[in-house]
Amino acid sequence: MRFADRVAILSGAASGIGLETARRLAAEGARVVLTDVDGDAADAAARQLCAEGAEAIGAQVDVRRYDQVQAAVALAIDRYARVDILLNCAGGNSARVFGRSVPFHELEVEVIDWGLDVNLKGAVYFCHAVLGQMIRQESGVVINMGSVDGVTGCASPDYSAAKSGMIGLTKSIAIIGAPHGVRACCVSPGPVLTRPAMAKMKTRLGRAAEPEEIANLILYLCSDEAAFITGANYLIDGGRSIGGPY
Amino acid sequence: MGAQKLQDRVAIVTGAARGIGRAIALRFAADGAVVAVDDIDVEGAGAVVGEIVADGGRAAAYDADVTDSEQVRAMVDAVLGHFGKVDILVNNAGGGAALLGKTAPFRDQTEDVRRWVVDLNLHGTMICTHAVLDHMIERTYGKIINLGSIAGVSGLPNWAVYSAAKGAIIALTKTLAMELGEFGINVNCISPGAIGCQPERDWTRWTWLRRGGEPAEVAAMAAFLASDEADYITGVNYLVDGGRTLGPLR
Repeated sequence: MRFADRVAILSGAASGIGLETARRLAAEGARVVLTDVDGDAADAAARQLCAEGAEAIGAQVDVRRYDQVQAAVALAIDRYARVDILLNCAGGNSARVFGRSVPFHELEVEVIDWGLDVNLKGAVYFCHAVLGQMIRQESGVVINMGSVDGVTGCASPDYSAAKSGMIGLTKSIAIIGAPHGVRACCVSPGPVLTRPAMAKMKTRLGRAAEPEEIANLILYLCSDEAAFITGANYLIDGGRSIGGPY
Repeated sequence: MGAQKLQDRVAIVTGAARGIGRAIALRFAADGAVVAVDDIDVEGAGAVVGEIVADGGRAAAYDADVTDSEQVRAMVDAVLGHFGKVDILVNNAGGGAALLGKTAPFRDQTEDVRRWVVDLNLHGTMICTHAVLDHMIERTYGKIINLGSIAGVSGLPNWAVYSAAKGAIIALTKTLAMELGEFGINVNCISPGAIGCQPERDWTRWTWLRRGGEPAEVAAMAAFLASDEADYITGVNYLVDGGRTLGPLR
């Protein structure tokens, strides 16, 4: 039980990598606060985890709303008295989410704003809201979800820029947190089968990942075995970012 | 928890008589692997095997010099003879001119020392990798873990040749990941920084976490990368450096 009695708060936790990580953390003893813009889905996921024997609560959080972020962190502290792990997982490719297949220069500014806000600003908000508690308790781990697109670039500049931003955010939180026992790591996945279309993306291993494979790495970086690890970006992409001819 | 993640895997760990290599050998054995403990210091390798066996693990000592392809070939053949397969290769043997007592600024570094450092770190890694590749390709399975260094990412004064060789190992890792992905072989690099093998150094000034790392902390990452949990990871360079690469401490 690597995470017995640890408290984790996760954004984007009602589905995909966020939900898988919440489930795995709970299975190893953590108490988890699942936040998602879809509050009903977050509640349902938390109830499901509780039915499996975990300690979990759900909360509706649109990461673009600082008051909602702050309220969720306050809920975690009120309920469990500490926050050991923050996973900034909420995100998504704006053009896909809005069903816009136009070239970037024709994309509506509102769509770009959504991409930057959900993929980067929300994580900055969550770090801001959680860091005081982690500093007071002299321990904590922040995991920011980047993307291979933040390393290689892609056809969605708002997405890749935000995901590159997660790497810079991670480094700065690591610098601020280090004197207080707080670590920060970025995890940058390649294609993950949270959607079937991901299977078509090229990787050196010739496949996309299952969400649990990303959770394996997140849990390792959150664990005490990774106590000497902070400030870096951990690609898990089947070799996609190394590129080269196929 | 997870004590047997490497159950019955056969691993070769080079430079395993002490430091990070020894920690990796001990950790792999504790996780269930059969470990070929290779080091030119054969007594040291034997002592590590003794530790593993005393703990109920399985291991054997080898004394191949990684810079000698015939010795390495013979060692790999012996491992295959003893244990039937090689699942994991950890290219850990290495070190700087300090091993010769010849640490120096590059302008003062002699050509023979420069060649020695490249030979040990870079050619050693290539020789051992080359020796296991046919076998791994045939089985369409393999985990190759190279030891880089933050010197290979950031450079290090008085360690120019070592830094260059470690940087080359990172590039080698990426290229081999491209070439070998289709054969089910994962090739990754771990770049430690400020691992406290030298207790006399004041590591608090070196890393943001204000301490040196333990060899076991690098070994834990090696065990993770060698396990099934890391099957989707290839071509990466994972830092275990206490935040050393975050720039100068403020």
